[in-house]
This record gives sequence, C-alpha cells and structure tokens, in this order.
Amino acid sequence: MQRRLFSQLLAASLLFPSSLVKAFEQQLIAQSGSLPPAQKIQRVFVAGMPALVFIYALAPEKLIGFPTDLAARTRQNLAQPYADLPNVGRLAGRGSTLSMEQLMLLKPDIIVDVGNANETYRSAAEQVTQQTGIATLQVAGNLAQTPDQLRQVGKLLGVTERGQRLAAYAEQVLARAASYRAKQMAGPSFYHARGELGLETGLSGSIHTEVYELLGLRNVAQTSGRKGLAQISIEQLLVWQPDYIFTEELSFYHYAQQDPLFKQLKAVQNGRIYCAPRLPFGWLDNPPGLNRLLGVDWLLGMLNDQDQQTLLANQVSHFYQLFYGVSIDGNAALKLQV
Amino acid sequence: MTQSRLGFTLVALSLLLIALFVLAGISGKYALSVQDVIAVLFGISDSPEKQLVVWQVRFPRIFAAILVGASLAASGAAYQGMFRNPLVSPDILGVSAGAGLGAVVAIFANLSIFYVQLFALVGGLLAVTLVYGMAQLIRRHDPILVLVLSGVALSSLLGAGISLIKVLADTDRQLPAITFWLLGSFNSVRLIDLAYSLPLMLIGIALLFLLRWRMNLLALGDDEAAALGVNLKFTRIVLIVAATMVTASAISFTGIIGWVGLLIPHTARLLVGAHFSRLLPTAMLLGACFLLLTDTIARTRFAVEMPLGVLTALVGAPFFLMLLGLGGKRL
Repeated sequence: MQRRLFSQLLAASLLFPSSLVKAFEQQLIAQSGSLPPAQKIQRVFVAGMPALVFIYALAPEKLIGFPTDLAARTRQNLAQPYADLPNVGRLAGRGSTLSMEQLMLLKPDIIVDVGNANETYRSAAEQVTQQTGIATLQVAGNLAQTPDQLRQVGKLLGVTERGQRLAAYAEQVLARAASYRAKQMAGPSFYHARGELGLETGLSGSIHTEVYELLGLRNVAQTSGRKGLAQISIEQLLVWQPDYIFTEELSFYHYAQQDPLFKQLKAVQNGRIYCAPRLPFGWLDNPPGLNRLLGVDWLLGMLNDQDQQTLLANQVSHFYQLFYGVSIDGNAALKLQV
Repeated sequence: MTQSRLGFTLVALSLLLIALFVLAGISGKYALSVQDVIAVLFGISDSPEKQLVVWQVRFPRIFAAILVGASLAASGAAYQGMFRNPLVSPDILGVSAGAGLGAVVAIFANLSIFYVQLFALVGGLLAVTLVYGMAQLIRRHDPILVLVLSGVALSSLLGAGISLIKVLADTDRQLPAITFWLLGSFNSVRLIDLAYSLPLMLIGIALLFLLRWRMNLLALGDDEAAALGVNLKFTRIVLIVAATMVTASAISFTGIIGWVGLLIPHTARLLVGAHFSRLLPTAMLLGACFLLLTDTIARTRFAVEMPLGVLTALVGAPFFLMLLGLGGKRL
C-alpha cells in the first residue's frame, strides 16, 4: 500500500513536479503499520498534548491516559471520568518519557500523534511501529484543516458521527475568522507576549501565532526565514508599537500594567492588552491543537472591543460543551485566566 | 613589561571602552539621536518616553554588559592563576551548573522572575560551597586537583538534574523559557536587577584586587607559596568566595554566558603577561569591551535577539585565534 503510494508519488513528481507538493498537502493522515478495523479500536495512546486535546474532544472514552501530569486546575475543567486518567507518558523520539516496553504494557490499539508531521517524527513513528507492532496514526495539517482532520480520524476510530458534528462546528468558527479577515484591508497589528516578562514571542508564520493569522492580523515580529520562538527587547517593542498585545500569562498581564516601560506602549495605554484564559487548554497557543479554536472567537470578541460579550460567552459555553463535555457558564470560563 | 607599556595598554583599553560606551548609548532599535541622549542625560529632555528608553532600558543594559564582562573576566583570570591551569573558567567549581539548576527548578515550578533569579544566585553559591566542602573531606590528593575534580563531578551531576527537568517540563511553555535562560541574554535586564547584583559584584571584584599580589605567589605552586609565608587555605577561600560572588550574581540575571571567563584572560595575558596585578585590570577592561560590543551587536543587528552565547563565540573565537597566531606574550 505504502510502496504503491510512493511509486505513484514518484511517477507524479517526475511528470508534474508541482503535483508532488499537492499530493503531500492533501495527505492529512499518514500511518505506519496497519490500522485495526474501526470497531476494534478501543484504546488510544496519544503521543503528545495536541493529540490529547484532539482525541479528548473526538473520542475521550478511548483515551488510555495523559501524556504528562496535568495541573489540578486543568483536570477540574475536564469531564468526569476522564479527568482522573493517569499520566502515562509521551512519545516524542528522544524526548519520550516512557519506554517501548511500558508502551506495550499499556496495550494500545493505536497511537495517535497530531501536529508533528515532519520526516523526523514520521521515521520515529515508523520505528515505534516496527518495534512494538502498534500502528501509528499521524495527523498533519494546521488549524484551518481541523474540520478535515476531525472527519477523517473520526471515521478511522469509528466515531464518524461525532467527528462530523465537531467538524461542522469547527467550520463555523473558521468561517467567522474568514469573514473577519475578508472585511479588513490590512488587519491590525499584534504582539503575542509569552513568558513572565512578555519578551518571548512567536515569530510571524510560526505555529504559536497561527490563530491570529487566521484572522488576518499582522504580527509585528517578523524576520525572514525564521518561524520559531524568539526573544526580543522592550526597546524593540517600543519601536514596533503593536495595536494589540495578547498573552496567556496572567502575571505578565499585570506586570505590563504597572511597568513604566510597557505603559509607554500605545496598546497598553489604550487598554488593548488582553489576557486569554488558559483552561482547560490554552486558547491562543499552548498546546498547538484544536483548543485554539476557542481563541478565534475570543480574539474576535476582543477586537470588537468586547461589544458582544454575551455572544462570546455563548460561543465559549457551546464550545466547552461540545468539545470538552463540560457545562460551564461562558462568562465564568472567560475569567479562567491562570 | 615596563610600567609605561602597561599604562599604555590600560589607557588604550579604557579609551576603547569609552568609545564603545558612546556607540552603544546612541545605537539601538529605538531611534535616538546623539542630542536626544545628551538631553536625557542632562535632564533637559521633555519626552518621558525617551527618558525611559535611556534610563530604564539602554543604560541598564550597557552597564550590565560592562559589569558582567569585567566580572567574568576577573574571576576567570583569578581561577586560571589559582588552579594553575589555562583551561579553567569561572564555572569550574560548579557555579554555572548550580545557578542553571536553580533557575530551571524555579521555571519548572512556575515561579516568578524574582524567584528564578534568586534560585539561580542561591544555586550557584550552594554548588560552590558543596564542592569546597567535598574537597575538604578528601585529603589524600593534591588539594587543587581535588577541588577541580569535585567541581567537574558536581557540575555534571547538576547538569543531569537540568536535563531531567528539561524532559519533564511542559514542552510548549517551560522548555522554551529554560532554553532561552540557559543561552544567556541581556534582553530583559532592568535597573532593579543591577541594584541587587551590583553590591555583590563590587565586593567580589574589590577582594580580587586586594589579593592581586598573593595571586602571583599562588601561581608558583603550593610549596613555594607556603615557604614565602602565604596562608594558602585562607587565600584560596577568599579567592573562591570573591570569584563565586561575582559570577553567581552575574549569571543570576543574565543566564549562562560562556566564553568570556575562559578566553578573555588569555587574551589579556597575550597583551600584558601573566603578572596578576597587571593581568586583572587588563582582563576586566577587555571583558567589559568585549561583552559590550557583542551585546550591542546582539540588540541592534537583528530584529529579534541573538543569543549572547552564540555571538560571543562567533566574535571571540576568530579574534582569539588571530591573536594566538600573531604571537605576543606567552600564555
């Protein structure tokens, strides 16, 4: 199957080089090993945090455990009985926190990884499958492709209907982002502040600022050729003068209001610095999973200067119910900054 | 080397430092003209924003670079003399590893920046105390060798602790913070950081200056130094305390900055020879110039900050190899 795909790709790339790129783009799901039939998949091991959020939303009953120790406050915002699942470790090549033997003892039917879709991770997954015989499902793609991811994986895991339902809602969220983007000539600029002092940021085009870019906002932190995290100085920030500052760090949010230097920023003076909630998973950035769909609505709310607070609260409570299985008052969820 | 040539070197380096200081003062992301800077310095600027940029951002950073550069070079020079080993750097007794582990633990526990710095400082001091204590318990070998080996052993133990926490840390938030901290940078230096680290650094540097004559005797070897009436144990303790204080307080707010403490003393030795009373001021001036220059590049050349550790090696290594090739005094 894989060999055939490979030879097709090879042939296609020789004939039409651009179609190779396209073939890879279309392939959201890669797998190593052969997947069990959908009804046989009862135990899913998630490789990391984005995969946890994904499977928790799509098929929580199949989760074996969490890839890391979740904070008590995170667990409080997850549905029972899943909130009490154990930490079973993560799988990330050299960064793995469980051994192959432990993995086999857990007897997962499949391993699911979301996000890490480069060649390094793909070959690592291949190796895990060879060693343990457990098939791996690798879900690639960015936030905008969440609906397709949900549909395809939902089908493979035998939860087609739930996958459809989540995908449909994700599409609505993305449509709201697209319509905001279409209305802007040049979107307002923003700075995504990370870290205690707010001087760590995601560069333009990085996975950390994907949610903003869906809305067509302009990242002030741009350097050609680099897309990761970077450190900047406050002097640089004073030059950039972003229209908005967004963060998930409550301590930085408070610090910025007090600090004489941050108070020189127009965004701070105009009250356009906002702290996003971080429960159960980050709304803007951490982890880089479908949890960031909440950030789309939240950002839209903040960009409208919070005129539509009720609408936002409803959207939030709907998302919590649908994706996290938790009933919460939207206004209460909006105050869950940690 | 005659006294006048030493004088010439010191004056030349001082002038270089002043020139770099002026250059650093007027360059930066935030456009300030020379007049702007002068106006702020003399208190006649009417723009509060410009005043803040100069007083709260640029000058703290410049002073930090000068101080840290001088401190690391001074303690490096002292250690190389005391241990009679050219490969020794200020972190030989575990101060960097201890500070690193302290900071990493604080980041891992989601503590505020104040505690990150405090833990780094305390971690650095504790590590060296521990190394010294261990070395005192082992009496069968050359005390200097035992000190170095204990330092190496404890450093690798603490390094293992850092690695362990890196694996356990939250990969999206904590791990980047840890990585950036370990790379070292002046990008978030504030006045308050200088306020608490300055006294420790100055005391340490003053102690090194007071001991500069005895340092030469230590370099002769234990037996000779003892024969000349030096209280070896006492001198060594004071030197270690002084060097550790300056290094730990520097590291606590800048993160780990390698290279300066190792190679600046050598460069200074190429210029003025190994006599400690000449070496110390030369190394300090050279360290200050070097770190000020690299940090000015780090904060002006790129839109985002370049990790200082990368730049110090990039700028320093070719320069040092060139000096080595050109000859001069013996190492």
